[in-house]
Amino acid sequence: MRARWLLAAALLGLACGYGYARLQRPAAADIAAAPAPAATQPDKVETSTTVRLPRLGEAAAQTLSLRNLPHPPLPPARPSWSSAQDALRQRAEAGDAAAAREWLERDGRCYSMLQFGLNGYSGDLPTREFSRAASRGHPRLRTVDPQLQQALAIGDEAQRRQALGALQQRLLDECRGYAPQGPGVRYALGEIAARNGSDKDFWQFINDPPLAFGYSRDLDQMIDWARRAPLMVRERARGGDADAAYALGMAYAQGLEEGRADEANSSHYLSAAVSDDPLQAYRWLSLYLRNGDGDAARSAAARAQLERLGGQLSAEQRAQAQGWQP
Amino acid sequence: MANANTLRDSVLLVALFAGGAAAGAWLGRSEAPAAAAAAPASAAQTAPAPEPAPPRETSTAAPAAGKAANTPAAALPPRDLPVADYFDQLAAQALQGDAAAARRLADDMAECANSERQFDAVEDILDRAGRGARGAGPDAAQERGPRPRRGREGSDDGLGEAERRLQFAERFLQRAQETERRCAGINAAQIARSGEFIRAAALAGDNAARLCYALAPNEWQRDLLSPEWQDWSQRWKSEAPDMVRRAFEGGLPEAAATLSAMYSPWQPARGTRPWTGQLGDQPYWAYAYAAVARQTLGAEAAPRLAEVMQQHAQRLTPAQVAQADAWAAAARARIRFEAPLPGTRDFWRSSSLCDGVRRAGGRL
Repeated sequence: MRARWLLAAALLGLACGYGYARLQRPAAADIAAAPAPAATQPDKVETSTTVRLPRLGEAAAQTLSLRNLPHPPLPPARPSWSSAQDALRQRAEAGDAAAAREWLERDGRCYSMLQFGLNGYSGDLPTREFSRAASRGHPRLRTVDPQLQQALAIGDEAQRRQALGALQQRLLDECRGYAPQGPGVRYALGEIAARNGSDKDFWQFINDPPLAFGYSRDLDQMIDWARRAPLMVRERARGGDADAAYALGMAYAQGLEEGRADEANSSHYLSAAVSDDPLQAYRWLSLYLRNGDGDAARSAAARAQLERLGGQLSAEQRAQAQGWQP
Repeated sequence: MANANTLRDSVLLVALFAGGAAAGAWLGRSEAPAAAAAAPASAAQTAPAPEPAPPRETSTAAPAAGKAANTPAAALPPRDLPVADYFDQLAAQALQGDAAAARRLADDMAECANSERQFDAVEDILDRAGRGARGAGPDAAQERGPRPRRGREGSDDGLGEAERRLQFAERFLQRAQETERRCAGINAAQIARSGEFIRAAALAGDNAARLCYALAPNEWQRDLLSPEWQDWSQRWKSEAPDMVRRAFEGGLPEAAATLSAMYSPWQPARGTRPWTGQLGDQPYWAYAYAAVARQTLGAEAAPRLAEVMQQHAQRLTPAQVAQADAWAAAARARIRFEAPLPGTRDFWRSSSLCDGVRRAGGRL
């Protein structure tokens, strides 16, 4: 009798284990009904280079540093539309910030010129579209070339047209055969420039990230930026950079929409990437005012924010935040 | 002593059950892959780039999605009711796995989120109409360049371009006002739940919602870059490709075109869809799905799809093309495809974001 019970327990265990294991896997019938075999995972082709970065929760932010984060992955180099661009990329990948910047600037210029191509037009330059867009301050042309503003400032109409025509010709020559590269290249080179380059390169990456926001193709880059940028700014702020302390304080104080409306704060995207946190905002803005950079407009904006945020904090929190050191 | 024996027997029983369970689990795991590998062997011989199977429905099911099949969906409230009147009721149904309720709320919240944009669009149309009327002289015609080819909307009925725009603006304004009325009392927190609803609808089996969720992540979670958006996007990335496959298996013809694009190389051309190349560059599957799309998306889409198929076929051997054609025919026989969504002629009538996304998914 006892042996029967023991045998039943063993068989019951066997059945349960088998059933559980099969439930965890697709049944053969399910797989057979699927379109094709599953020897590889094609959906990893584009996304396998994405590294999951930790979220910048406040507790994590205190212990994380940029050193823990891998650099954004660069897609494998293949010959592009321009050997000059490829050479710049090669130098940039070796850490040359100037080359990365030049690659980005040229890529940006040529991308802007995509809609001002000739499309079979064989008349005089500038084309009507280019001329109109330039004179109306089209966003794509606003920063395309410093000579554009000089040309537009010419009083004589014929000379102005001639200068614009020469500029368009030069840009078209430079961008002949242009083909935009995938978002991963542009983003990774932007990060290289920010990491190794000047303050301007750094803030360019923070305030005008090299990606298309809202475009789902750039999602990997958006996620990376949202996690990386606050850490980059925090590291700078900890090193005593007043601009970074101000940017962080304002970012914690307001979301994207508010940030856009605030002329004194150019870090709109940074604001969007961190949660509103009055205590953090109060700390960083207090630090900014203590170490002050003498910028009257920003100091006034920081004081106004402190006054507003102060109402959300206790007297003790305010006192601690005023003496806080990162 | 008797107690000691009982205890020993109990321990033995548990040990034997556990041992049996472990052995059973091992058997179960070792058997499944063998069966899976055996099934599609013939296809693998000629299909150079195999494709993952859609996972079982249970693997990413919503908390209550399992109820969807068994729970009869309650009738949806009429379209003209204010959304606030039924939001709570449908939200509760959506969380219980009611795909139709979830889809309806996702559409409603997307519409409410776009309410302001609709009025902006009307202003934009009116501005253009005004500019068109002012610039109606010969110089303006020259500036506009060659007259654009007229669509069905622009039949030659004697109306000027500016007047047509005004009529269009009027229709658009009516729709915007209707949206404003329906969305009165809906707050930002409710709108922010649109992503939750479209995902619930997708997981509960609504085919259009599957495609819509998979193709337009940032329309459903608009708080871009925020920590919540980061989590949303990370999860979306892991779910989106399978959602499109499920939409295809569920019989949504636009999903066939979407999958073809997802297996096509990304081209830096205007109009390239964001999902192009998302699954890599695999001409075999790009061709095979385009073949299904050509048979299911209707005559209007057929010429373009034939062109796309020809482009992909150039990168395949004749044997691979034949194999892909056979696969497409088998898919057509296996899956009962719905009719495609009608074209864009009356797009302004529809305020459904998902309808727009579905149409976009069906274009190559």
